[in-house]
Amino acid sequence: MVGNIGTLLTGLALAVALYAAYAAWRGIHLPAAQGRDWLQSAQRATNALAALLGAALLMLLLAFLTNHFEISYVAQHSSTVIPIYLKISAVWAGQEGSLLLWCFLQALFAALATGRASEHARPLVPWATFFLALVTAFFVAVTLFLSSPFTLLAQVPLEGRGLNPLLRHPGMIFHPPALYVGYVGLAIPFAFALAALVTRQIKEWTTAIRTWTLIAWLGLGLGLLLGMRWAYDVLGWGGYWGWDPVENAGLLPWLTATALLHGAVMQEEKRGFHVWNMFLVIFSFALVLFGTFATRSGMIQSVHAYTASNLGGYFLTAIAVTLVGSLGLLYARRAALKTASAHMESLLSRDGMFFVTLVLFLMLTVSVLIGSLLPTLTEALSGQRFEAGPEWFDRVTGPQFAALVFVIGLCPLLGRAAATLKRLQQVRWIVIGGAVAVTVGAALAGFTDALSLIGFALIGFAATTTLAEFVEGVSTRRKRTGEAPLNALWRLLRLQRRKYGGYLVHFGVILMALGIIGTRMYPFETQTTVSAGQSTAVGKYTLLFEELKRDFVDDYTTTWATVSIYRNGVYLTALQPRLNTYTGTDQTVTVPALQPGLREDLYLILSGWSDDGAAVTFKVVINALVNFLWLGGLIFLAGGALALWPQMEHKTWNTVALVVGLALLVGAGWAMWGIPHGAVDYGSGRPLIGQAAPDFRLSTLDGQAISLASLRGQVAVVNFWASWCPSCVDEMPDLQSVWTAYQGKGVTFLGVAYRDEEAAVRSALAQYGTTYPVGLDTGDRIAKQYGITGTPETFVIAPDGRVVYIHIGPLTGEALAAQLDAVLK
Amino acid sequence: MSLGAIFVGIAVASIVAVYIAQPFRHTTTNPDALIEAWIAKLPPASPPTPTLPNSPTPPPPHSPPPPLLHFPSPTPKSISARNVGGE
Repeated sequence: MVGNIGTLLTGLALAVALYAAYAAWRGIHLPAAQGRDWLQSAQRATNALAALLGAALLMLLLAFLTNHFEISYVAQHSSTVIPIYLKISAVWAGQEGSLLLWCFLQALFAALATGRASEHARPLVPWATFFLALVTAFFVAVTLFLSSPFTLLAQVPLEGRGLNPLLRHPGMIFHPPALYVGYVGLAIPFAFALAALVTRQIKEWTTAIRTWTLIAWLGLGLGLLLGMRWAYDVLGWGGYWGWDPVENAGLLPWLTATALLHGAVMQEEKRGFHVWNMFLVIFSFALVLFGTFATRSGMIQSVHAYTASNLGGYFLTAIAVTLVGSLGLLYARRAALKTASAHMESLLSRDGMFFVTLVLFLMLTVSVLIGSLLPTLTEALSGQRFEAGPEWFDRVTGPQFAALVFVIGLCPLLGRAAATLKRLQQVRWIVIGGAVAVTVGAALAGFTDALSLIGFALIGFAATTTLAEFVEGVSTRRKRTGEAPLNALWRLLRLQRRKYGGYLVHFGVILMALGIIGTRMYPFETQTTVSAGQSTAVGKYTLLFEELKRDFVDDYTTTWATVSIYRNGVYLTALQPRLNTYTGTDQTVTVPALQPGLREDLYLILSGWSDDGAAVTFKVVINALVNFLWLGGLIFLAGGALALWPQMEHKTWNTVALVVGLALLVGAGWAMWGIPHGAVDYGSGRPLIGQAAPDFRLSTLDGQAISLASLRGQVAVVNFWASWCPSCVDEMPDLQSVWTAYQGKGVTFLGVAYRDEEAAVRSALAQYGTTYPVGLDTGDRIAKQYGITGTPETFVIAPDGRVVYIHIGPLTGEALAAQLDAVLK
Repeated sequence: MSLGAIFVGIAVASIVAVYIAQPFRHTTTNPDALIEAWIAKLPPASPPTPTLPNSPTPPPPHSPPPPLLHFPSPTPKSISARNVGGE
């Protein structure tokens, strides 16, 4: 029933989409009096289309929430055991569902953009409705006939296959919809641009759809950032961006949309760029289609791509139709576009720098596109695939991104050419100071590579000029109004949202550049194998492997290692990297653990272990400055949201928008730094080998009070145990025999009973004939000092008070005797 | 496909069709035109026709409000007379 209704709703949506296009066409071509009815009907059809597809999407959601496994798509991507939030994200986890989401968002945006068009946009609405209805009809037809999420199975399985483990992340609820907001959002400027070309109203279309371009751009930016963070948290390879073709498919339209936003500013200021903007909007939409084609055609292999399908040809045709049709129209209107263009004063002027910006974005787009297509192209031409790896992309795009940062730095200084030079002269010392400060700071922090220092200088320059713009704005306002600095900044941001929103975005990008330099130019990765209780040094970090454990959860087995982390010998935290094995599919997923820091993140991946679990292999990655990337990303989003923030008359709505915006930012910040990514806080770590053993005082059961300091000059064996711990009592006879053998050789044993009761301890001692001093650790005082994570644990302390041996778990008499012999020598 | 699904489909399609066709409906059901046509059909009357408060003809501006007829009036004539008088 649910599946059938979903199919009917989608089918109806296709009919309504085609009708909307037809009604708009008739409305345009009939005389105004009659045409008005048709256009109104087309508008209503666009609204109905959004409602129908929304209802279809709700049907699919309902099918997931109520386990309708008779629907093939639900059976493939869900199961009864996955939690509700994963069932929600499973709706768009596969190609079919994601296409339906795409259709719904496309229809919703079309209804909003045409129904609530601004005064500038109104003359373009009929044609825009026509084009948007066609675009939506195409996607709905693909969903209905080629990739329906409502296809029914002949035999209903009792249980679904479950969600792809890689997609079991809360971020996956938001990542695809955010990206799709970007993708479908770019269809709006495209449709309005075509409408402007058809109606020859080519001057003001950018103003008409500025909000939609911003929404699409911001959605893509958010989607890309969420994707990067997902890759960092879930994929477990240590990085966040691998120049994967699917990542590039999202980046490409974002690059052209960014260029379009800049070009639109120039067009709104009547400085030309009409042809540029037309090209950019056409290519942005074509690149959206290319991304869809690339991820669904099976052309590329990627963890992000959907399984190969027969959709490739259709999308390729759509790209061809889009390019040929729109470029043909552009060519036909060349005369009108030419008369509207303006002349640039100089490269150093405001329009000159905008031109340079557009060229840089275009070069980046072409570079990334070539890199993404290289494997396919080389295979088609020479029969051999040339994979353009991260090194290729870094080498090709690095200088271009550096040039962009430089242009961002110049941006606040720009005016007319002469004014720019004068301004540069005025602020030269501040700018040089900023560049030098960042470079010296980076060098002092250990980043001394010559090429990276140039990058740091550029970042310092750009950050100084951008921040100076805020300082100058606040100071001017304070002089005029006498407001307090924070108040002045707040009002400045509120009153000039677009300008300062743009600068905030720039500042975010500058911080992201810092993170990119750190992670790309100072990569550190190593693999190490350690046994339980042993430590290994990785740079300034010491990793002490505590134990390996395994547990069964729902439909997977999780194995995790506990590793104590020390920096420069000081205990930081304990990390628990995991490896999950899914029983249904035998798929393994690494869940990294990380210790974030301003200078770097320590990123730990559990690679494997020995059969008995006594030794494990870790991959250790140190990601320098990576948190500047995430921080910059948040500032970037905040700036975009500020520029997008509508001028609302009601104070209440302004406050609501502000609270929602801030809550989202705080939520994103919490997700990045608030959630312990595999970190467990035991309060204190155990002393490392070679470090001084923490002093303690133990009241033994025979009434003595022994302090560790009083045993200086002897070898001390401190054994943490408990009468309720089977492996502890197992090792007691061994310990007693070693104690008997070594007590006359300058060796003292101390038993520390952990979380135990006196009667039980006395009984155990009597049962196993233990004669060395044993006391109760009241309130876990000593256990905390030694950072123990369980019992038994044994420490051997040299006569000078340093720890020379640590053993986690049951210890044999031979092993202990061997250690004691070594110390006594 | 189940019968229930078909019914739901038909119901949704009908609602959508009515909603989409709404802009075209004013040509056949324009209330102004209907009233004009109705008035044109009426025979010319010399004395003013008494009207009840719920008559479809709207009252002229600044006329006193009609009496509230919660119950059938025992003297409809007097009400009519009062209305006529009011005009």
